Amino acid sequence: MNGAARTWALPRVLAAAFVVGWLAVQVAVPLIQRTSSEGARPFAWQMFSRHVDVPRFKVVAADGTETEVEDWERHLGRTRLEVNFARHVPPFLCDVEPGAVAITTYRDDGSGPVARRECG
Amino acid sequence: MTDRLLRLVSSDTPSLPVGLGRIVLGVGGCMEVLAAASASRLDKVLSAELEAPRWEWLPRLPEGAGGAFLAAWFLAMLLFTVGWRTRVTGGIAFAITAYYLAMDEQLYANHNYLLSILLLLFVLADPGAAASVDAVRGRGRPTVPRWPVFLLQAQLAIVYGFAALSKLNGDWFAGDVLEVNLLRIGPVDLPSLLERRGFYVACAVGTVLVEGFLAFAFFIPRLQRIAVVVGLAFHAGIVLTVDRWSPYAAIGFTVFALEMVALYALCVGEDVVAVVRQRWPLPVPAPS
Repeated sequence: MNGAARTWALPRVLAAAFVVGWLAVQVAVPLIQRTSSEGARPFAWQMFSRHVDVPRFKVVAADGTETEVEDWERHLGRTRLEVNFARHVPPFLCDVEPGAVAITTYRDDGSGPVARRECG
Repeated sequence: MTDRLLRLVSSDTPSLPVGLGRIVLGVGGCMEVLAAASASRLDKVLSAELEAPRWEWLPRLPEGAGGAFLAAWFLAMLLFTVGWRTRVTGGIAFAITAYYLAMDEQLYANHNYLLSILLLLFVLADPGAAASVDAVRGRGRPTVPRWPVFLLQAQLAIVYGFAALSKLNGDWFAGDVLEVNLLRIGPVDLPSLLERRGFYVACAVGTVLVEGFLAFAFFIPRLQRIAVVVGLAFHAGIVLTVDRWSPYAAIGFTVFALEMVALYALCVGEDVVAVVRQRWPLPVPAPS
């Protein structure tokens, strides 16, 4: 291709924008996931890189007592550590645990709670 | 910088490496769909009590529609692999893979995410231009746009680079992760003699060094052949030695390996063209 043919025509501008944008996303997403998230985060190429903590959940009854839900994983169709359990499990437990007024989320080592979701 | 970018989006590259990469990627994609079907993975997630949608607004596939979804996915992957109207069939395969990933977080796997990325970039690179049904029927081209191939090559560095970076932690270098995940059963059982902390630590260090090496070696011409050998041995080692809690996990590692090998074909493109043209007369149009 000669030099005169190398001009910024619209298709080339679009291609260049795609190249720059794609690379920016592909580098930024794993960096953000690495610095801002706990657990095995998706889209970050973290395959088998470390031990992944799985949160624990407790049902809060009307009298304020808390009871840990031991087997919440059985409700999953497939256990993947990239699932954001802290986001998806509390609302589900609100629906299926009788008498629950709230669900509290604890860390894998039992420390916390780190979050509380009111039911109803 | 602007001149280099203009040169990138203005230039072409041989089509045969892209065609070969498409075949390897397609085989991996077909394997993944068959594994998902035989494990009833999609049906289990669709019928699970606990749904984990990535985005609430995205419509969920109805329970019972998993079979038809997987059949469409497999057909698109198969046609993409053989090279029939690859921009359409690859585009459909990409859309189905992306929807599969987006529908529920329980369906996520890194090799599926990589499959979706590679399908999109291959489609942009006109993957049916060589080594394809389309090329046999006279719709081939000797060259394809350079910039999608550049992005595919960059993806190789991104995957290996971040895989190495993510292992820079205490769990990994203490050998804890490998101690849990190395194979204890089957034909390539880890000998009990090697069940020592020092062995796991050595493997952990070696893995980071290999991934770090592979992240850049494909871009240095005199290291490319070494990188191919190291990369193939590395992925074969993963498939053979990682604990198989199910055969589908081994298939997943194989699919991941094929995806990376598809990228190898693009990185060592000129060598591949020379060797393949010499040994096998694949349908690729000669430069005019």
